[in-house]
This record gives sequence, C-alpha cells and structure tokens, in this order.
Amino acid sequence: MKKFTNASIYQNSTLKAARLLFVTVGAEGLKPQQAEVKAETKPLTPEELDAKNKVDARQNALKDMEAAKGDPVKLADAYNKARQAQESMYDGKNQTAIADGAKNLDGMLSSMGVSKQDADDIKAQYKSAFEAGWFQNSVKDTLDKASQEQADIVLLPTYKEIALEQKTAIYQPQIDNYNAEIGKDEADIKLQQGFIGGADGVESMYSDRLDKAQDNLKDYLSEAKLESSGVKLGKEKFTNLAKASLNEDFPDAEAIAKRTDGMYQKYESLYKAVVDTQKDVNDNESSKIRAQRALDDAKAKLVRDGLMLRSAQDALKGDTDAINNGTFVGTDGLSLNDRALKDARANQEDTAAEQAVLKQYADAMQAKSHELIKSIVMTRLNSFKEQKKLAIEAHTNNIAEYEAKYDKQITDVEAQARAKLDKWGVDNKVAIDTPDQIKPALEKYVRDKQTAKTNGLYDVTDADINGEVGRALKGIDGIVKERNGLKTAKNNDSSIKAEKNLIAQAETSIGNIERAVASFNPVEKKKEEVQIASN
Amino acid sequence: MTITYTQAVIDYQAAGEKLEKQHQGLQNGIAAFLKGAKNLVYSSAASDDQAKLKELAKELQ
Repeated sequence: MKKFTNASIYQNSTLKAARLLFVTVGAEGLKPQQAEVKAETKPLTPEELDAKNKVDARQNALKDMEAAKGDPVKLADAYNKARQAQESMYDGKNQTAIADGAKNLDGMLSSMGVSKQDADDIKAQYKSAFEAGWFQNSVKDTLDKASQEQADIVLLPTYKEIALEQKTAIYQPQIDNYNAEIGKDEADIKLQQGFIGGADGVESMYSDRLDKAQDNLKDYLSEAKLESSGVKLGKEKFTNLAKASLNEDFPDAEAIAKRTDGMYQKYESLYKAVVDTQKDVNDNESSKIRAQRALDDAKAKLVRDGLMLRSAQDALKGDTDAINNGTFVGTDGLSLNDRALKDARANQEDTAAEQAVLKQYADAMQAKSHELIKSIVMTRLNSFKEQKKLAIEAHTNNIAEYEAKYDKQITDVEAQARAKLDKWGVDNKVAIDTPDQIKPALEKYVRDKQTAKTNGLYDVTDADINGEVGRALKGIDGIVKERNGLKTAKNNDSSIKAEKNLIAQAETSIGNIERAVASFNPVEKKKEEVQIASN
Repeated sequence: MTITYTQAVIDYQAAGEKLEKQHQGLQNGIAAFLKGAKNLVYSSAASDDQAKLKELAKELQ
C-alpha cells in the first residue's frame, strides 16, 4: 500500500499578506502624502490562504481573458489556460484535503495504538474509497437535485391551475365590478388592463419556471448518468480491494463488498426513478395543455371585456370631443358619465322585460297597421267607385252626343218633309209617313194648282192630277226612308254600343266595390282585400 | 471551435462552482471516513466488527 507523504502541502505555503492600514494624520483629513503606511505581517490561516488563492486565480483568469477579448485565438488560449489553472488549483486543494485526512488518520491510528498492519489496511480502504469517488457524493447530490426538479415539474402545473383559479376568483369579480361602471373614468380602464396584464404575468411566470425545471432535469439526468458510470468503476475497484483484503482481521469484507454493490444498485434505482419522472413529465403535458386551454379561454374573456371597455372609452372620448368642439347638446341635464352609466344600465335590462315591451310594441304596431290598411283600402275603394261613376257619366254624355247628331239629321229630314206637307196644306197632325192621310190634301193642292194654271179654261184631268200626286208622294216616301235609315243607323252605331258596354262594366265594378266595402275585415282577410283593392 | 468572451467567463465561473462543490463533497466524505475508521478501531471485539462495518458502510452512503 502506498503511503501519503505529501500531507503538509499547505505548510510550505508561507505567504504573507500585507495589510495596509491607513492612518489619518491631523485635523485636515486624509492626505495621501501624509498617510503612514504600516505593513503588518501575519501568517494566513489555511482557509484564508485558500480564499486568497481562489480570488487571485479568478481575477487573473478574467484579466487574461479580457485582455484577449476580440481575438478568438488568444481568447481560446486564455480560456483553456484559465480552466487548466482552475482544475489544477482544485486538484491541489483535493490532494491537500486527502493528505490532511491521511495525516489525521495516521495520528488517530497512532494515538489509538493500532498495529501497523491494521493501520495500513485502514489507510488502504481510505485511499480506495477516494479513488472510487465515494467521498465526493456528487452523484447523490445530482440525483437529489434531479428529484427536486422532478417534484417541481409535477407540482408546477398544479400551481398554474391554482393561479388560474385565483385569477378567476380574485381578478374576475373586480373586472365585473368595473364593467358595471363602464366609462367611469380612464383610471378604471387602466386598472382593468392591469388586471389582465397581471393575470398574464402569473401564467407566464409558471410557464417559464416549468420550462426551466424541465431543462434542469435534462441536465441533471445527463450529469447523473456520467457520474454513475464513475461510481460503477469505483465500486469494482472497492470490491476487488475488499476481496483482496479478506483475512482474519476483516472476516466480513465480502459483506462490505456486497453492501457496496447494494449502494450502487440504490443509485441505479434512483437514476431509474428520475428517468421515470421524465415520462411522468411527458404525461403531465396533457394536463398542462388543459390548463393552457382554460387560461386561453379566461384570457379571451378578459380581452373581450377589455374591448368592451375600450369601446366605452371611445364613446366617452367622442362625447368629450363633441363638447370640446361645441357640438354636443345635452337636454336631459345629465353629465356624460351619468349618461354613459345610464345607457350601460339600460342596455343591461332583463331580456324577458325587453321582450315583453317589444311584444306590446309589436301588438300595437299590428293593430295600427290593420287600421292603416283598412283606411288605405277604404280610401282606394271609394276613390275607385267615384272614378267608375265619373266614367259612367262620361260614357253617357258621349252617347248623348252621338245620338244628338243622328236626331238633328232626322229632324232636318222630317222638317224637309213637313215643309212639303205644309206647302200642300196637309194638317200638322198628319205624320209624314202616312201617305193615305196626306193624299187628299195633296190631290186638292194639285187640282187647285192645275186649275189656276189653266185659268179655268178647261177641266183638269184625273190622269194629270194622279200623275203629279204620285210623284209628290214618292218624294215624301223617299224622305221618310231617309229618316228611317238615320234611325236605324242611330240604333246600330258601334260607338254608342261601346259606350254602353263600358257603362255596364263600370256599374258591375261599382257593385263589386260596394260588396267589398260591406265585407272588409283587415285582420283575417287582409291579403284578400288588398288584392281586391288592387283590381 | 471559437468561444466568445462572455461565454468564456460564464463557463469559467460555472466550472469553478462545480469544482468547489466537488471539493466540499470530498471533505465531507473524508470526515465521514475518519469517523467510521475511529469507530472501527475502538471496537476490539470480533463480534462487533460486522456492526461497525455496517456503520462504516452507512457513513459512506
């Protein structure tokens, strides 16, 4: 077994630190040139020396790297040297600690009267344990950290849900309260926007923490895996050593070896638990998604509330602009805010009440519309009836005009015949179309005229008289035939017939209209009446 | 492989913290070993060796 002979590394380090003590001189205050510098030499304790070395090394490394800033090659070189120096320093510290431990072990064993063989065996265990890495406990630390992150990852989604519940329980009532007083003033709007921002901030905080915990877990898993392989190597060494040391003094060395193997198994179990935790983290993604969805819904509602509030703000701004521009006219004596509040409350009237009012309004409008329809229909019917009456009158006048023309012609013809009869001395009561009654007077007229013509010198013959009478009667007959033709033409005139037909149609329409007026019902036969009115 | 100045500082400091923790772990382990070794030595009876070794193993954990 190798003995440790470099147990007092730090004892060769006899660095002395200069501690400067500034002493003020005189009442005028500190003056550098008057300051007395007093150097005090005092050996540093191992802890102080260690702290000083660490600070110096760090400052030197940072200074070197900063000097190489901007030059990748020099920077890489400075960085590598700094890391090597750092590792060398800690390697030295570890060696010092081990040497101190060995020194203490030597002292302890010596003071306890342990035999050299026993002391060598114990020191061999000590060195082997160091080589196996047991002392460093880094695997266990790493796994402990991973376990903590594992717990956080499981709990963080729950924290998020709690945050959401708080947002709903605390923020929402306040938002609702301010919504009830929309447009109160700009400060309220900003306050509500603050609620929304606060809720988003809570969600963001837990989301970031969850992401970070998951990243940390990955790092710890990777680190634990590497260190676990180192532990496994150390376990083999320790086991071999224990087996080699199996002798009378340590009959249970094999049991120790088994126990160390159990320790390794325990670490492996821990590592497996961490891997399983990662799987749980993946499973928790679904609950995270649900929480995210609920958060999105709540967020959307907040946004809607915000938009509604913003609309109220815009309306308020519009009124304010109207006042500033001198175009706003208030007649109800209410302030803008009171009016906005009043409008907001009016808009929140109970739906059932609004529907009842609307129904009453609809009923009134229906009744009113029926009355209006009736009035319109009646007006149109009466108007139509009057138009028909006027049409009948016009057609009657036309007929009279047409008939008057015929009558005048008939009268003229009859007057012409009457004039002949008068000339012949026929009585006025004798109709022109009665030749038998005309003939006696006509014969006398002809006889008298012929007698006068011969002056009585000779007798007028019947033949002469009959011939002239016959011709005269034939002329009267021609006139009568003309008159009768005029009468026939009057009776058969197409224009007069057309006018009479129009009169008959108008009289029929008037009858229809009168029946429609008598039976009009605006509620049940509205469409029908409208159609009648349109005819 | 190039490295930026900022990243170099961050890596250097992170490595320092890790080495420091390892060193603390080492010192804790040494203390535990010495305590176990002391207990082991104090036990002279062969029948007690196994129990002491168990304690030592427990300390090592």
